[in-house]
Amino acid sequence: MKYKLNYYHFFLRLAAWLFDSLLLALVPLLFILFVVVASRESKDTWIGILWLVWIVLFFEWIVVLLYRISTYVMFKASLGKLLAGLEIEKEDRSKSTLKDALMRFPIGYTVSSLVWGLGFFWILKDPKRKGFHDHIAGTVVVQRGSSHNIFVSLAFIFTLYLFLIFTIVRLGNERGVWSGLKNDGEHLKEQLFSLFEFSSRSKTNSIDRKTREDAANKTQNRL
Amino acid sequence: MDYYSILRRSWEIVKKHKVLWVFGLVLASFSGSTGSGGGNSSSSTKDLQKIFEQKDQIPPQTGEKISQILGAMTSDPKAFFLSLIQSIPPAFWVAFVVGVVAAVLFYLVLGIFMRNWAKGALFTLAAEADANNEVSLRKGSLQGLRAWKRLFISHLILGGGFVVSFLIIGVVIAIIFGISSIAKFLVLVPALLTIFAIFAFFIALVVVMVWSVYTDLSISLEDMPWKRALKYSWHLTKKYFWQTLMMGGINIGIGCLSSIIVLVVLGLFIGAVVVTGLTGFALRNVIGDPTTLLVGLPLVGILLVALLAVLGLFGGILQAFTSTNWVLFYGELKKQSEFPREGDKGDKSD
Repeated sequence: MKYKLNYYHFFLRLAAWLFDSLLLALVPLLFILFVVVASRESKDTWIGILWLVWIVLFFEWIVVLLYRISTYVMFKASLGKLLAGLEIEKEDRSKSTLKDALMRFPIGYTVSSLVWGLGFFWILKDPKRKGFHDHIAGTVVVQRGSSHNIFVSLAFIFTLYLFLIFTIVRLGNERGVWSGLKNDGEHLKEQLFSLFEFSSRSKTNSIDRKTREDAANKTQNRL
Repeated sequence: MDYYSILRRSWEIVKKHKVLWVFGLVLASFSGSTGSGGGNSSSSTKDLQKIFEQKDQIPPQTGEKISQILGAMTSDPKAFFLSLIQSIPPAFWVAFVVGVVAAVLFYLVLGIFMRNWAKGALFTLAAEADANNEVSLRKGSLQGLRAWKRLFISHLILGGGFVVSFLIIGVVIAIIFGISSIAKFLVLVPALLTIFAIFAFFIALVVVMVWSVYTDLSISLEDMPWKRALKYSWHLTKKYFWQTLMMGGINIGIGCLSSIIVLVVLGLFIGAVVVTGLTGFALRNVIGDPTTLLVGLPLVGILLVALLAVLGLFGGILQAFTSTNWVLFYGELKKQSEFPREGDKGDKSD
């Protein structure tokens, strides 16, 4: 198969990756919506924030890994790539296995992401449009169908994001979630500043007191 | 042994075959220790503690004033945080611990695999490049996959054996110290033993390092099982210990030289940042405040990104170079007539 050095292919893969990332990022976004709806007082919001941090740090990467591996093994492409009409094929035309998926995703993606994603940008230079992860796993991404669906899907998911963010902000304002968080933050800041101010004032006072005591002692000794 | 020709040939190979840089990058990224970043946390906790203790020194009328101004929230940040922590459900703590354990395990396993996979790939590709064969990421990846498990097991045994031996020695010395506190005439014995143990520790460390180099090379280049590789490499260690130490010394010297280069680059970067800052400050006086941010910050950001990329690549190239040195050194040893082959006396397969 002859490959043309086609920059459109790179941007198609980029669009597919963007769609997949936005799809997976819906999990924490929907959780934020849930927190905003369910919070009755500011403590609930703070606990919700703790859970959100946990989701982002410890849960999301498992979801991403399982999504990438399962879609590759079952459909030879993620949802974003399928919408872009792309498919991941083994160069030797053999069936994709779990081992291939593990080599391509956690291992291959890690290698490609070194030095600011050099392995991903390599797709632009490579004659077969392969990134480091493709070379490592022995795969190649080919175009099988129409790519129009990815742009429509991207437009849809952007609109969904705008709607969700707008809803979260509006609901948060109505329920006083943002003002509660803002007030808590400002109160904490003011109290910490006042404590710092008092501690520096008390240090100055104690220095003044010591100076006065020393002066009094000297005077007494002279007398 | 012509070390200069090894270095020259190694540099040619690394310069020509940029594929080696990729595996060098991976090995460099996953070989370093994570380092302890925890030193600062204890001091910041102490500062916070001081703040909370000094809160008691605030006169009562100030406390009342604060609560009037600020309204609903408690005037005591410590009490607020304590009540927040108490209201966190137990399920969160369980999920937090499970999340931390899972993340640590995942990164540990990934790190072990990546390090050994990249090492196996790098050694094999360097040998292939030296033989003027084709080298590629795919080829290296497959070779790394073949070798990683054996490399890991052999390192576990060498490292584990080393640590256990010195733990046993430490326990024995501690027992003798205990006995000498009762029988005073024995007081010199544990002291002498301790001095001896320290020397033995450093010598054993060097021996184990040399042994592990030969084990890695035997597994990667000769495709040996780990047990046989350990036995075979022990014979090589005994036979070529001083020559290997010399090669190791050269590699360490190259590492030190590269550290100096890194420091120079960092110095240039800091200089560039200072110049950028001064330029922005000068412009601010002429044009206005936002210019400093508009000009200075993006420039510093771009410089930082470029610097990190350069340093990362440099680390990868260095790792590829030192690994290729070992492969070529091993190749030179093999050319010698007295080089022990597999199946020679003392190399019985298991």
